Amino acid sequence: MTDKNSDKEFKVKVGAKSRTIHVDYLARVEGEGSLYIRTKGDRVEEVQLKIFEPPRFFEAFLRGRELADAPDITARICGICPIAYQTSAVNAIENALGLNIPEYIQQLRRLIYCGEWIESHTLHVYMLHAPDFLGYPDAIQMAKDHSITVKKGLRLKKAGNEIVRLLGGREIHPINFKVGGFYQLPKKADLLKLREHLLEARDDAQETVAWVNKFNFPLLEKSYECVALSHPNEYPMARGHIASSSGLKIEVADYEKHFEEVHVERSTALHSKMKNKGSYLVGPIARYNLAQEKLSPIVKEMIRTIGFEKKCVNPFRSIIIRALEILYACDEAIRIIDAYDSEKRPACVPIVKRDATGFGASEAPRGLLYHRYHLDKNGLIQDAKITPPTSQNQKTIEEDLHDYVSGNMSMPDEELRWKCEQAIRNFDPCISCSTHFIKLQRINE
Amino acid sequence: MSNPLVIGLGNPFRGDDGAGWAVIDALKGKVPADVKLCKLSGDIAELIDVFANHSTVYLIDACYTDSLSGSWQRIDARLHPIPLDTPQTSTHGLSVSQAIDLAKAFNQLPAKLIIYAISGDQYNMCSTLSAPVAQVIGIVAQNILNEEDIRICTKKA
Repeated sequence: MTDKNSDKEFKVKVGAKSRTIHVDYLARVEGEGSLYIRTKGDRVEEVQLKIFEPPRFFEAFLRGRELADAPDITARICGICPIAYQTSAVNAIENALGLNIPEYIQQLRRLIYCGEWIESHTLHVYMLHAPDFLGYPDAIQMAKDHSITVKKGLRLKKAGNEIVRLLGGREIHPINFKVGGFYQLPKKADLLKLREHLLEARDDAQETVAWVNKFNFPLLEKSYECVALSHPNEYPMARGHIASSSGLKIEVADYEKHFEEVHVERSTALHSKMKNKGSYLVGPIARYNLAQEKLSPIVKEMIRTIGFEKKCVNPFRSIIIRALEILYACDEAIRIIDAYDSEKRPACVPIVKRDATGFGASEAPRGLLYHRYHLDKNGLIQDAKITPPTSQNQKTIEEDLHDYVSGNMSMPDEELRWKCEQAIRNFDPCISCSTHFIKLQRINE
Repeated sequence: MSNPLVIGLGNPFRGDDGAGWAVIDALKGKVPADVKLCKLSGDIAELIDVFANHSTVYLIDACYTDSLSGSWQRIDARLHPIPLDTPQTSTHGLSVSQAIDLAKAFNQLPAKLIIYAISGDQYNMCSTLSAPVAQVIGIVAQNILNEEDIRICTKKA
């Protein structure tokens, strides 16, 4: 969708037995990154997803700020997934304060989170990823031939916007989230008006699943270590503990005992890895592979109708899972609205400040988003740690690229470059989210 | 044929980005009831729906240009392409030019779409316009009042 293609420098050096693919500026991903692949003979020698967007220092901004500022400051990390940042922030701070959040507030948080999934996934499916599969450089070119389809995408995104606007006060960087609940609860009558649009959106979402299911998918099979939130009754979204496909089951508070971030020279975003294991995957495929039985009946019926696999191992097919999650989010939003009867109840629970550390996580559209805060007795943030999904997926993205190029060495360079960029977009990476931190090391000589 | 719509686009809490809203404020009480005024911010993609429902649209927005702050241009969007944001700042939202291109692709661009682009130079967090931009708000508003469609509505009223 962007015009970054025009700035792109695509270098292919063909030596006697080696070639280099270098895309100086990745298009249709958020933020500033590049791709470098070097092969020799039949082997891929080097794959680098380079992230050169300047660090944004959000964790440093948070130090010394009131705990109430955390959801509003961290929301600014991302324009498309502010609810994820707000949810993980309040989950962590409420954990530190030992708050017990009533179920009706938890359900409203899930509702606004549904709005964000609809917004974000729809943007990615229609505007950023579908052009890859249909052979267009961007969504505007695609819209010239597929106007009805792209209009459907914009209509769907608007339904997500409406949820976030109603519950959050505005669709971008909403302002109604607070530690302990919300500033204001929605009126049932307003939610019922929204419900009418969501019924249409759910139909659009079903058609979206059917549409993307017809795409031709490049072949790549991966055996991912999937990591996602897990909850006894809910498809992963706004709360839960952490689970993995190899059987890890931990509290969010133990995240840093099992996962670590390392700095690599080529990236201003830290790379995450599972301790003693290495790369892992967060996001739609991980959620689906770990928790598909928690999807609603209408989504399960759609999965049966299109014959979608029980375990997704091809990252290019993540676009189908995103579409299924859009359908789920529409359906789940309708369910929550139907059950809502709490407009006269308190919008939040009172808080008592204390010196404590808290841990929180939620499922951003792109995957697990972890926050940790240490608060002093006055409620001031002393330390903050934020691990966004794109950081966690970086190593896996590079491994996917390695495997895809290794299996397609005979592919013409231009086609291979296109497919490599498409492989990166499988993850819907948000580089701007991932580059919020850098370690400064002083060396005394 | 729908009544003319005048849209002020922007964020009044980001300095000169509030120019579009300021023009709408300047027009209040001066246009007949047939002329609709509205302020928009947020998801620019929603402009496409607005375009679909109106045949005459005036859109006022702040812009970056090489021109002096406070200078302004009147652009007929059906005749002249609107430059892309350079550099494109985000894939997480559409720019005005992308919204116009998409509306064109959908064949739902208004029969008349006029853009008033006001050059600003300070977009930091404040709710005031810079002096050069504040000085042209009234001039741009007057130019809109002088547009033929608006004058026809005024005469009818």
